[in-house]
Amino acid sequence: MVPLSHIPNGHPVVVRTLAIGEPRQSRNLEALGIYPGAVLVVERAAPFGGAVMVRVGEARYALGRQVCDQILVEPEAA
Amino acid sequence: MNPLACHPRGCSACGLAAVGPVPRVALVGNPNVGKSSLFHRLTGVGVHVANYPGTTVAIQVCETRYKDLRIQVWDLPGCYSLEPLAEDQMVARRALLDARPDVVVAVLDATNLGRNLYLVLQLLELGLPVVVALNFMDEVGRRGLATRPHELVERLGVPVVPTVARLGIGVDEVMEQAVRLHRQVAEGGRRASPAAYTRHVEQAIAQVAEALAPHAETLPAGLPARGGAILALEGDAEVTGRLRGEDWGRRALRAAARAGAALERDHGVPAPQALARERHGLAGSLAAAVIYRNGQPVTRWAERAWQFTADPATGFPLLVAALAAMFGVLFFGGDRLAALLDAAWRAAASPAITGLLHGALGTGALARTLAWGFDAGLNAVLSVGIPYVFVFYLLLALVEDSGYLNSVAFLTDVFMHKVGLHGRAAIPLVASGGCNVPAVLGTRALGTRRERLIASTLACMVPCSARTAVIAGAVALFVGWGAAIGIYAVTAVLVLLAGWAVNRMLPGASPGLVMEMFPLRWPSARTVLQQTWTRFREFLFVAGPIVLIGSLALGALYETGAVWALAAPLRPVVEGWLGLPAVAGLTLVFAVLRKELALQLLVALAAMQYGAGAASLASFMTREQIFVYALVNTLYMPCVATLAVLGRELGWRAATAIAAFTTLLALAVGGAAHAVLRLL
Repeated sequence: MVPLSHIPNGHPVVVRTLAIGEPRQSRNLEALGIYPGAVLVVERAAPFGGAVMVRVGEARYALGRQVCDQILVEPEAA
Repeated sequence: MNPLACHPRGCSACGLAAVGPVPRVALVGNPNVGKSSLFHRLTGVGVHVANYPGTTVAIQVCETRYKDLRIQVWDLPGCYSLEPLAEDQMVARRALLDARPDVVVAVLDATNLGRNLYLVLQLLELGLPVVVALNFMDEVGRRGLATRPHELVERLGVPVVPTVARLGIGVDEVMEQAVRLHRQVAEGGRRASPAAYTRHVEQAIAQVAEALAPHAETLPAGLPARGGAILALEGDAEVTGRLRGEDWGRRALRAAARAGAALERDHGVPAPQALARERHGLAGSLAAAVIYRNGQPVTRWAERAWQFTADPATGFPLLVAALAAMFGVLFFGGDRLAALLDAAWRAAASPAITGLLHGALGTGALARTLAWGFDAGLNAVLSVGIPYVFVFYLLLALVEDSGYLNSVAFLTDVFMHKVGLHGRAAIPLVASGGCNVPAVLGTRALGTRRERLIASTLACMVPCSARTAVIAGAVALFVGWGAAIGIYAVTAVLVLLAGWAVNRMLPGASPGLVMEMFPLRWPSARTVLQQTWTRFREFLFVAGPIVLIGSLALGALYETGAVWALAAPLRPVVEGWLGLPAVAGLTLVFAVLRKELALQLLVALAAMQYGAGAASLASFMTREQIFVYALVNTLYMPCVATLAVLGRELGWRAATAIAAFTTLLALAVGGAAHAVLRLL
């Protein structure tokens, strides 16, 4: 398991754990479809440690870098 | 703050009528799914009964007619779920649970059905009567997709209407279905059948629902036992809080704790996460049954343009260019327009007004005082309002409607973090360049009070269009462009420093950015003009009278000579510390009413002392003084309208703190600028 922030662009990953202290943030991500078991693809990252853009199904989200640090993922099994 | 908090069953003062003969239909949905388009289509010919500022952060209510029926339509802020995660989402939840509309129209983005159905499942769980509007059907076709709406009708037991709200397609049918559902519910007939989850989850829900069922009549917000059970399992703060107050409620909570623990054992994640996962799974399988591929997607210009704005390599240069273009239009275009309007006023309106006043009252102090207000004051409203304020609002509406700010928020997130905010705060901060009031309201979309405090403090320091008018009309004109840009540069540095300092001072940390990205769209002329006019109308009808009264008051003080006595106590600070004429300090005090009033009054004073003409301000104050004056005016305490909204939104302590902080900052920076400029 690695943080989402370590995943290079274009690789599909499966969310394993939301290691987020703030419960509201965690509920927010769950409502958007970012929950253990969901599949994400990193599309691009802003420079200087900026936000990361991910695709979840048909939706695209911008996630702050420290949010990505708290989303633990695994590469999707082929 | 919250239109429903004081009277949970609705109230005529809010425009949210209590249960009665007029069916109340609420539009609910994720952000950016076309709720407002549908609202405008449904109510286009209706009468506005209430209009809360900041359409996306509060409720709009409108009464309309469908056939022979009066219908009240509510447009709720966009939300992804019914959990109160930010203030705007709290508003939506309050409206649905406390004021309980008769029918809920769930507006769904058919191109992203899975995520959108999550909210529908929640609405059904809570026992709300739902009509589904399957919107963006045109976009579905362009993506090479097609739908089977009847699948949704059969599986959820709700009416489903395919729509293209933007073009008005399907809008009447939505109304027809809403009215029919309202009648069926009133007759005790139709009930949707909430879809079932997997066995473990249903068992957990059933255990809690069993404890709640005997008291279902007394559950908060008219919740059915199943809905109450789900909220209790999710640990919903409001429901658990209310249940804790009753014996049977505490029993139900104990059942929820046991069932939740069992669920966590079986699923390996906490109960709320297990439920969210179940709901997404169910929504996903429903979506898969409804949507299917039947062609090839067409790549649209919007997608390509969006990639261009969001890609850092092209996005950052574009951002700089966009800002430069905005200020260019504002400074160069605004100045031309201001000169034109001013000349027109002097040629046509001014002689007529002074003629009328002199004819009726002679040329005494009373007539001259009235001329301050009705000639100079109204001219100021016109020649500052239209060139700078109107033009800025127009540019802002264009940028907002195109969806470009979304990309800006993504690109700037990392910088916003340095000041304790995240990228989403870029949106209210850009808006505060127009006016601080909607910017402070716009911070409702930020999750925590901490972020709202920081963002509001910074928003109040961003030069609004009125302060820009002073910078453009005094500094750029009499001192030079470099000096005008210098004021923005000083302000920008101070905003960053203040953000950094407030972020260090306030306890806690701000949560990170979580924001949906939307494709760009071609701004609609109708929306842009409507938005511009709504804001500008506020300016005309709120600012107009204030400028008029302010000019009349200063005119009276000037004509009676009282102005010199009043200015005297300001002398040590204004003359000694800032190096400005004492009466200029008085105009700064008046400018608390409206920031652009500072320049208007100053020009009027200069004209009175040194005669009319553009050169008078230059003979009244030196170039250094004009610079310091505009700098202090830009930085010190926000205007009364902003203070009022700060007090209402964040409390009077915060409003007072922001006012005191900015005033001290303005004096410190103004004094320092004076000292430095004197040395040069």
